[in-house]
Amino acid sequence: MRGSRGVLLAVTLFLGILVAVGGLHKVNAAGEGFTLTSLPARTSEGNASGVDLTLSVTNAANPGSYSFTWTVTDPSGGSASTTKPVLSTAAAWTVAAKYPSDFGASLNLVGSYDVIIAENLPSLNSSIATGQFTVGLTDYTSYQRTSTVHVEASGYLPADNVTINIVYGATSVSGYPSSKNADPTGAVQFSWQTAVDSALGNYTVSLAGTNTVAKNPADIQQVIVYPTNITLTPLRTGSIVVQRTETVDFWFNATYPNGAFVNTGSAPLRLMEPDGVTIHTVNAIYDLSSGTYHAAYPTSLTHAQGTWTATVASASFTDAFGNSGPSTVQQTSFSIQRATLAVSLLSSSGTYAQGSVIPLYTKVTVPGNYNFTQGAVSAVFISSGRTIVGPISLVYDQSLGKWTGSYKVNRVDPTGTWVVTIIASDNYGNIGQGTASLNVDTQGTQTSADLGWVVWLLVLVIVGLGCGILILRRRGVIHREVKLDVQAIKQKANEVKGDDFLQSIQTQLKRRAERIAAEKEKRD
Amino acid sequence: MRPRRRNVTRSIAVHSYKGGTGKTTITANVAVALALKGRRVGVMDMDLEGPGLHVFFDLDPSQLRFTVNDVLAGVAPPEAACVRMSEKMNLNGGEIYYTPASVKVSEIMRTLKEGFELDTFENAIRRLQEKFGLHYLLIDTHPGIQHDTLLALGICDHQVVISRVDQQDIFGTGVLVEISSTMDKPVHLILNMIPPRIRESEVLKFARTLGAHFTVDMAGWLPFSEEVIGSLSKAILTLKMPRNPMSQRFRGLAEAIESFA
Repeated sequence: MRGSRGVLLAVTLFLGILVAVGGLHKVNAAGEGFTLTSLPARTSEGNASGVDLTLSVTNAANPGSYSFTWTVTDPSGGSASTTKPVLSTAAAWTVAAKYPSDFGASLNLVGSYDVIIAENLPSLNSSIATGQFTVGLTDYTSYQRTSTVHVEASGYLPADNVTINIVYGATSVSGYPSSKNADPTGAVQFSWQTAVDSALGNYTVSLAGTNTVAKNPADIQQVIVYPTNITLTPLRTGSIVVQRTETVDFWFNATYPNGAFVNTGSAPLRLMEPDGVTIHTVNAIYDLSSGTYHAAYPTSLTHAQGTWTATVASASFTDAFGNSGPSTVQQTSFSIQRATLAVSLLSSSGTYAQGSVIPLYTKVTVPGNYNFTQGAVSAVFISSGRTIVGPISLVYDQSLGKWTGSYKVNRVDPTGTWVVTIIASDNYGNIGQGTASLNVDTQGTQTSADLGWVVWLLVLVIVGLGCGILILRRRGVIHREVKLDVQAIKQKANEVKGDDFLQSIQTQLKRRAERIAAEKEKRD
Repeated sequence: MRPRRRNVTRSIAVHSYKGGTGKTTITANVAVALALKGRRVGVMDMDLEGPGLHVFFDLDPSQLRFTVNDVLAGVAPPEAACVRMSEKMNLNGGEIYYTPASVKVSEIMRTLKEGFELDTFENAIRRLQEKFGLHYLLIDTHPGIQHDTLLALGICDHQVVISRVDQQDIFGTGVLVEISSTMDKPVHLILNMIPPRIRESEVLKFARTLGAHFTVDMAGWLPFSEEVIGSLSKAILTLKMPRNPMSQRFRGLAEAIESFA
């Protein structure tokens, strides 16, 4: 007997804990367990499906007869009940009552509805389980921007003109207040589409009938609007492999939950070098022409070679209104290779004779299509597989935008076709070369090949004019540029002549001359 | 070879008003040109403030026991400071006796501070002349008008003034010629580094103009030469590149010097 009491006490204690934790449990004296579940726990007014108030019974007598009464108290304080008998054929089973249809009541008021279940058979217990459910006006209590708020209310006179208002702070949102007639059942339904830039925070939704007796409590409910999540399409790059100095393009699309494309704000792209440590950042902004977010990263001749990773971190994209995304990291990779320099040699098609100068004008451009100006450019002349001269260093001429140099053909140089190879390089491994051929004739005099007689005549005229101008310019250069101011010279010389030291020298010279003369006279 | 009398040494001071006129280059090349003709040539570096001849002769004065500074200070006899260059330069029978100046700053300062007497200098020249039987003694002086250079100008038989054709240099050259004329020494002019745009006839015309106003005669002229500039004072063109047109010019100057009265 003492043992069975102990078991009963333990079961009672266990069930008591369950009640305390779940808030919905009670245990009758016979040892059954009761659990009340309200589904859904929240609904909106006029919901035709109602709320299922399910009582789960465990450790039931089998067989046995049971009877329960559900009582629901609405937010106005009014209550409605329903009773259901049960013939137990198992140790555990459920029995449900649907509110409001089983209660002859309605879901016309917003607020909290209290449920209490009493046992009538086999024991008499006024409260074996309690619960709650909530009724509101909207389908949810919080929304992301761009979501649609569905509002449903009931309990109005058929066709009654119902005023609808949505207020943020003290101000109605755009389009509200408005009005709508209740349908023949007295229900009112409408939707409010939130926008990407809707103010964040609490909104108050309220409805009031014109002829319907004022509800108690009134149809008022608050909803909260949060920033929305922006979704990005996969990050793409225009070129998987680029050469240094080329620009790497990235793009992606961004959308709101409602499918609308985002066109404001920006996202930082983190570009990580192959060393896995060095980070560069470039901003992706909306490109109106392509309707995408675009970032361009121009590489330079010194950028690290290898595989780079481009990343848009989660929540790093922010539009102009504070909405952000993506929820997961977007990533792609690309490879940077050394630049192949384009070398174009502007050579003359003429024949170069002994003593003539072969000019070298070389344009060196990087893959990014601008001039290569820092580095080394040199020329090597080769004839019949033998290096004639080189490497000859070329110098970059800023004004010409070209690398320049020259070579003067020597008497000992071979006659024939020469190939000049220009090699451009820098300390970072970027390299390129170009070649051109030219004719050299060291046997004859300096001439120009393939010139017709008209060209020859033209050359002679130009040379003649040049010589004439040169002769005219050379005539009297000294007299034109150097003024011989004799008077000033003599004046300056007289100043020096008065110097004591010079006079001392002159005196010594005079004595020396006299001494030499005396010695000579003595000898004679 | 034109025979010259023994013991009649012609001392020639090579001078200029401004630095960078090519004075030392001309001295070295003319000395070699004369030596290659079989002459016994003394070359003395009297550019005490900025000696440069040793570079042409590929000598390091700091490695020598004595220099001209020691001679002028009375520390050493002139022949002790003289270096015979003939074998080193393979001068084909001619001789060059080179007296370098010290490149040590302390010795340069000592000489400039203490100065030296005309007689000391003259005795040194006479000693070299007697010791080595020189035909010519070329004395490379410091540019400008200073005490030591005035002494050199005074003691030498001839003065060769090197000038470029620019306004400042011509002015100073005129002053130099005027001063030199007070010492009753023949003054000869060499115009150097003549730009290519100036014709020879114009150079000669200018020289005649100078001669009309000052007591100076034209010893020759030299065009601007990239080969000379490019040698960076490290090579004597007359010796290294005897066929070079500039070597021909230097030999012409040597001929002019030989014709000095």
